[in-house]
This record gives sequence, C-alpha cells and structure tokens, in this order.
Amino acid sequence: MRNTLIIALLIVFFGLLQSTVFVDILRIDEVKPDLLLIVIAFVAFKRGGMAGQLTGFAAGMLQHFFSPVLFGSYAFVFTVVGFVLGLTQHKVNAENFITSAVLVFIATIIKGLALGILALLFVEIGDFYPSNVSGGLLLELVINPILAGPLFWMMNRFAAPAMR
Amino acid sequence: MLSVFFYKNRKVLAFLLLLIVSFTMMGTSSTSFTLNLKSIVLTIIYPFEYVINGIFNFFRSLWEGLGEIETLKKELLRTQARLKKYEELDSSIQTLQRRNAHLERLLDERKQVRYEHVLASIVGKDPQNYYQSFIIDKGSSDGVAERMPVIAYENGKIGIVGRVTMTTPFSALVTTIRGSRTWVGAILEASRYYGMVRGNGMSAHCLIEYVDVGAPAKNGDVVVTSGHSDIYPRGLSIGILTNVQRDKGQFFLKAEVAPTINFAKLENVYVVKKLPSPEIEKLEKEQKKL
Repeated sequence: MRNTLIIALLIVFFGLLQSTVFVDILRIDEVKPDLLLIVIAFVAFKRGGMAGQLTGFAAGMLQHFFSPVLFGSYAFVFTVVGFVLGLTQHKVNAENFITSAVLVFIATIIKGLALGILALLFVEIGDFYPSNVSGGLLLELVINPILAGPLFWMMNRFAAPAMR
Repeated sequence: MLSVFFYKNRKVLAFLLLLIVSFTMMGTSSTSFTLNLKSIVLTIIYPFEYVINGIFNFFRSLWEGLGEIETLKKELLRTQARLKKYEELDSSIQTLQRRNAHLERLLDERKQVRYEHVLASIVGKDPQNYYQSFIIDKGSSDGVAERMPVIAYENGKIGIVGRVTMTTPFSALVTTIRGSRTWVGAILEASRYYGMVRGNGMSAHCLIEYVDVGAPAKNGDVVVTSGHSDIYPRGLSIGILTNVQRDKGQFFLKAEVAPTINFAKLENVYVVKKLPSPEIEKLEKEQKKL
C-alpha cells in the first residue's frame, strides 16, 4: 500500500511538472526531456515488470489529460516501456549513473518503437518516419539519459527508502 | 489448474490486459465521457500549473535580472572612467526600459491584430514533444469559448496557433494546428490554389492535402487561411510549403507545411473572439447525425 502511494505520488508530481513551462529550461531546441519515462524506468528497475507496467499505464493515462493525442496511445506506449524494463530487475546489479543512463536510453528507444507501431495502426498518431527520428526522438536519446543519473539519485535518496 | 496458470503468468496477463484496455480506449476516444473527465481534471490541476508558472517566471526574472546587473556593472565602470556624472545611475532604469520595450512590443502586436481578442499566457504544455496542445490562463470568465481561433505574433507575422477545444472558468485548452485531428482551410498565397492543412501527429510539420496536382506550387510558397472553415479568419499565415511531391496518376500533390509559429518558444497568444456562424454549426451537427 505504501509502495503504491509513493509511486502514485511520483507519477503525479513528475506528470504535473512535465506539463508546466518549468521543464522548458531543460529544453534543447524544441525537445524537452521525458521525466515520466525516467520515473517509469526507475520503478520498473526497482520493483519489476508488474509495478513497471502499472506505473507506465497510470503515467500514460495522466498525460492524456494534457494532450489531445489519441486517447490510450500514451498508456499503451508507457505500459510497454514499463513491462520491458521490468525484465531488468535483479539482472543488473550495479546501480550508478551509467546503468541508469543506459536504462533510460533503452526506455527511449522502446518508446520510439512503440509509437512507431501505433503510427502504423492509427492515422491520428501521424507519420512516424523519418522526420521524428531525425528530430525529436534523437535529441531525447541524448537528453533523457543525461537526466537519468540525477533523477535516479534523487528518487533513490527520497522515494526508494520509503518503498522498502 | 487454471488458477495456477493465472498465478504463474500474472505479469504477462496483466500486461496483455493493459494493452487491451489501451487499445479499447484508442478505439473509443471520441466519447463525451473522456472530455468531461478531462475538463474536471483540467480544473483541478490549473491552480498548480498557474503557481508553477508564477514561480518559474519569478526565478527567470531573477536570473535575467542578475545577468542585467552584471552588464550594468561593466557599463558603469566604463562610464565612470569617462564621465563622473553617471556614477549614480540607477540600475532600475535599465530594467524599466527593458520592461517598457517589452510592453511597447506587445502593444504594437496588439494593434496589428485586427480582430477583437484576448491576450493570454501559456501556463501548461503538451507533456510530450509534439506541441499539440497548450493550456492558457484565460477561460470562459474572460469571454473565451470553444472553437475560437488562437493566433500569435512571430517575426513580424501573425500566424495561426490553433483553436480553443475546452474551457474552464479560468483556463482553456488550445489544440494547435499540429494536432492530428485539426483541419484548416488553406490557400496558396501566390497561386491561389485551395487545399486543407492538417496536423501530422508527431511530426513538426503539418500536411497540406487536396491541392490540385497541376498547381504551380514549390517549396517556400506561403500558405494562408482560406476563410472557408469559418473558424479561422481569412488570410492568416499558416506556414510555408516544404517537400512538395507530385506522384504520377494522382489528382492531388503531396506537401508538408512548416508552421509560421515556433510552438516550442511560444509564451503569449491571442484568442480571437470570433465564433462560427450558428447556421454553419447547425449544418455541421446535421451532417454528423447523417
């Protein structure tokens, strides 16, 4: 129960933060980091696939309140991210800035692929290739892993002890 | 036996269930339930976004102020060396001048917006990088209503941003022209050929459709609103043509439109107080029923 509450708080806090202009200070060109993706990667890595996918689903649903993108698409994308990254639980022993960056790098790739699959199925998602891969997603592959280290450290410091 | 199977595979089964739920939601995304729930959540989160925006603006002003103080210091040192009388130059003059210049620019912009409008600041943005929506700090209590067009001013040009798709008393949701379901009646400014501009989801560029393949369109041509949609006033800049393609055997050419407005840098917008005529709204509703 306590774990669920803490994860819910993390999702709400970072979800709201993600939609404010505050995140613009971290923006490169048109691209801002995906803080919720980093939270999902953290939860999936720490708590496994079940927690990861549920966190992903909840985080995706939250984002739909701020975006007119096809309802359910973010929920789908982040559920997949949470499930796949959950497979890394207990398989990666070392936890440092590099492992967190690699995890979030992989999470960003999975997010891109999942969006690509949806773009093939639903016209509302829009054309996926090539303009987005060359633009937004490539920059996200840089900016998300850079922020992964500090955010993992913060969540380890403040949220993880209460989750045990 | 079955319960053991479910227990052993609960993770994968939960995963499949969540995917099915997501897909079902995508299939039924146009239900009014979704919009009503969104409206309630928007009302709840607006104060949070407003406060964050205020804090952010405060720190940004502070940061800019610090930078200005540094510049002023250098200027003052140079001035002291040349003329003693500028020793007591008040640094706030520079700040006031800057603020005044900003206000003059806004006033100048407002004069050029020919329509009755409401000036609004952006307080919330699309969580992902697709800039398909914004939350603004003006709502129904300021006269903002659904379907009102939203425009902005950039590099001396007025360009369309999108339209209001939801309102609460003190905020409103603006869906931009980059939104997948947004269609804008357009015309190529030079050749006067008509077309329809629509958002392309995740892409930074919009698409223009239904432009006759014989139109003398080329990259760099300006695309403006045609006024046919009855939402957007005629002659507003939408963007410029890029990636023009003509496929054999096709009636229409393919092209992208790079929007005039840079959505990533947008801070203020103008909500034009113009609503579609009731007759057209009635016709649209009747068409939907059919």
